Amino acid sequence: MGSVIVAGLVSGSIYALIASGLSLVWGALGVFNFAHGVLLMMGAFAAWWVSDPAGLGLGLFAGIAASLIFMLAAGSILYALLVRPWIGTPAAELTVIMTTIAGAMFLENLALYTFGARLKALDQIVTGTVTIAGTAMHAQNLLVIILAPVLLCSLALFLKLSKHGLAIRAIAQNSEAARLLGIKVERTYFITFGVSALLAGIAGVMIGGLFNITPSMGNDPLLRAFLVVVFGGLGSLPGTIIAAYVIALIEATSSYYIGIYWTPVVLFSVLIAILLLRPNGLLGRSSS
Amino acid sequence: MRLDVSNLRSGYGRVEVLHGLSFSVDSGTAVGLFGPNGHGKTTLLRTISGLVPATTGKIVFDGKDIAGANAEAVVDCGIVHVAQASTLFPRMTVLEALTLGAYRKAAWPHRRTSLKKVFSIFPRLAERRSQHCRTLSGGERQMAAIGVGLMGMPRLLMLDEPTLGLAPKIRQELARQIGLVAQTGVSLIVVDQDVDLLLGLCPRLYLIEKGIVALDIQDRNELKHQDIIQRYFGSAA
Repeated sequence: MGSVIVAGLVSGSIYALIASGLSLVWGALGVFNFAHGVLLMMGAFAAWWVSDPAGLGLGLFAGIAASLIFMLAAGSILYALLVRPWIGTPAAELTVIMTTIAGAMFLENLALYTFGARLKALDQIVTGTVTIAGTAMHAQNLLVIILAPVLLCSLALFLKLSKHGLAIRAIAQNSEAARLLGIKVERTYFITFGVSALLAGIAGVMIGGLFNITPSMGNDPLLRAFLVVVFGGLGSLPGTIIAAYVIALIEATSSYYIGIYWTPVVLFSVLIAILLLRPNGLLGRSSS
Repeated sequence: MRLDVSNLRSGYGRVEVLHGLSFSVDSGTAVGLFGPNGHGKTTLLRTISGLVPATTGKIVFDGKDIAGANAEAVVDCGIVHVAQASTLFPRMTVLEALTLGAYRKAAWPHRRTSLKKVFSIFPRLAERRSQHCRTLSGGERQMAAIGVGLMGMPRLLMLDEPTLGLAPKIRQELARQIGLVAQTGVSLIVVDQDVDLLLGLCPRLYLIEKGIVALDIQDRNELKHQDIIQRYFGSAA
């Protein structure tokens, strides 16, 4: 039972980081970024390439630092190339699905071409095992479980207290009123994408330290993140975070007690049932 | 501060709403705009604030033509537009919305002082500071909207129908508070249906009709109230 909870909390932490970035972009720009999973993959590869002896060999911490800086730039460039040209056009939300899927395919293949298909992994930040309340876990798992809420709280504080964080929420809630306050919409969009990519990159580094790094490593987490965002209620950050942990715990419990093959069936059944009762998601609001 | 609008034309798509409108606002004064619905008052404010592009004409603010500038640039000049029936930011607290009102670079460092000023004019906002904007009553929401506008330390504040849909008692309170705003030295443009309210606030009134200034009332004693009513509602009134 303890190990099920640990597995659920680790996945939940990672889903929450990925989904909150996705939710942020959806809220402010009204588009879904299908290249979000690829951002995660790029974050992991950037950290690996800088840290691993097969790359620059500068060590793990240099790798992580480089990855975070790289992600801010990658998010902005992705926005400028794949999203910005279509903002304000009719059906932008549909066009951006196509452009970001195309970008994701290109970048995934670029990673495959550059780094090859051989599995890679990041070194663990902390090694060894820790026992809490009779449950033994890898120290790295514990680190992820502790770090994610800290990062999510920082995100919440950024959105509540900082000028640019407030601007992101203002544009999401009433874009005309935001423009009348002189909010620099273009700059705010860049910041939104940068923050979103940063969160994806951190999730990528976490996955890279726990599992493997491959060019397609972002696809599965992206799918889960979509579930989380819809389930939590579009545009609600608390809803997204709660949904991330709920979904991960359902998955972990079901994998353990029912089996891994039936887990998606269980997960989707629960989601459909809840969305029938609450069509706007856990903490979603009606569109009025 | 001086605003001179001359020969302004603008509209939506192929529909022209303003047909060569001219008016001006002197420093530290309040100007009232009134007139029938659908004749261009709101469009005029939206054109000045850069939400609607001007087709031709000039909007000269302190010697600089800002016709064609975008909303960000207009706010940066110090012109703040409080939109009609603005819902502000439904899921932000009043305090968050007010803080964000100081987004303009020139206003951000002074946000604490501005907040005190806003709370002294609208004590109700201080009581409601941690409530979400969507939970405010109509009058409180309007106070919040004006307060958010003031946080930007405007040199010209434009209020679009601040008393729209409010009960008479709240309308009076709000009128008094707008008077306090005027006393802080900020220049005002107030659009309202309530001519009495405008007469109490503004030394100069313009009647906007069919997209132009139909009447420029510089000395309100010149014109009896009844004349305005007649002009406004037609001779049947």
